[in-house]
Amino acid sequence: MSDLWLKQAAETPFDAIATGPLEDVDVAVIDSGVDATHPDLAGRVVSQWTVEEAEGRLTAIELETGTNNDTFGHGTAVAGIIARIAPNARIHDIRVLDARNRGDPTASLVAFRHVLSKRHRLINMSLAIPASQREPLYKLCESAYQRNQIVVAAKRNVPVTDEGLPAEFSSVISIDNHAVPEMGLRFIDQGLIEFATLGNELTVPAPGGGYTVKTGTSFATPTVTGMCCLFLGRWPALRQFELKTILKARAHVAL
Amino acid sequence: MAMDRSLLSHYLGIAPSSREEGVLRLLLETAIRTVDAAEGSVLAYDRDANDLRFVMIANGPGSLIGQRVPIGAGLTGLAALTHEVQIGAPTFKTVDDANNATGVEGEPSAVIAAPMVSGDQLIGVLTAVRFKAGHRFTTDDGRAYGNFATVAALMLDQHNRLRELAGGADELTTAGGYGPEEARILNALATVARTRPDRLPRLAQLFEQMADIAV
Repeated sequence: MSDLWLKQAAETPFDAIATGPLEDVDVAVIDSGVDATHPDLAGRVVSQWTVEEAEGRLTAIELETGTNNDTFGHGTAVAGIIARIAPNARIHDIRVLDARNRGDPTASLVAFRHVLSKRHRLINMSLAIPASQREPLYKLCESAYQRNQIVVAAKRNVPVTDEGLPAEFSSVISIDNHAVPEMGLRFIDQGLIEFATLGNELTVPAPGGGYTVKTGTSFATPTVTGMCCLFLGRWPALRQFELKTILKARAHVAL
Repeated sequence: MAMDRSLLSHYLGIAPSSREEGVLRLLLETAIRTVDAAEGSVLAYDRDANDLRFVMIANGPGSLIGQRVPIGAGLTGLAALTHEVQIGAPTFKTVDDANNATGVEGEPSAVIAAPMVSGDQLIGVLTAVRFKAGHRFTTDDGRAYGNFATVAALMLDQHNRLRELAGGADELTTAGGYGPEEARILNALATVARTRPDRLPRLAQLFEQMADIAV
């Protein structure tokens, strides 16, 4: 990328990018599912999956597109934020949270393998995966980096034993929740987590058609996913390290 | 403060009137004061039924005790499955209603659900509730409540590890309001009595000697 591109990417207002020419970008949302019937998400969710046990092992099963696949509201909120920011986002819903699998952390690994095989360009991971899955998750994130698939991951709200996985890995873009202006960015100088944006009191779509207010790193993360979706729509050849460079440059510009 | 001692014993391994029960109650009360919540509760994870049950309530209706909460929906279930602190508000019809936090009398206006986790194992969920319209919980509230849940989980985990070491993992000594040390000694004695009753005379002799030294 030339310096001019970097300057443009760092300085063009998001609204201007969003209303300019954009290529579609496939965005995977690995979460609690998405209510694709919500008016804010109508026509934006292009595939829906659930990770369930079939023939003795967890596997990604395709659902009919355009259904309410979310009983928690977490994934619908995440997808709603991405859809609002990035008009070029084609959202793929992969549900990993389910009472029947008791939140089995390996469901997220199955979902990761699924989105890697589908070559979705952006992967939003607002859920932290337990440290017991660190090694296989690390390899999957490395694979994503090598395939130029970009993972945006949330820091834990209350880090005790880890900051959040996969957010700790350098192969992903990691996000914290800070009190910055909406669509503002902060670069975090120290530690494993790189960027922060607003994740407080965000009004988001809720399953069933209404709206609610959410707070947490989970909801800061899709804001950055939405930003990356805009950059990739405008400059499709961008690689992950270039996106980080742009985000860092914008953090300095914005604050 | 409402609680059901048999539920506490069954799900959390806490003997009635024990120090652990008092510490859990203290943590819950301190936690709700810290975040200025109207009510708080402890829900224990029922592994067999794969749901949550109210076992302790602070400032709320005691009738909730024993009630089951499904794990497959809602903020509490989400905290249980993700092992993450969740901060939420009710659902409104429109964006404006949500922004203005138009409240409904008697309905929660804000909720925190903080998981109590040991390693990868879920123990339960600590919740906090506000009822005043527009009074939402902040990120700092969530972090503070999450820290209390972490300490509660650590306390319960350590207590149950000690109980296992004392050979009392299968049954909890609840009679007579004994403290944890007495319960450990009695559990150990019960194990010997059950498995090697021939050693009891020698143990009695040892205890007599120890009592002579200690007193």
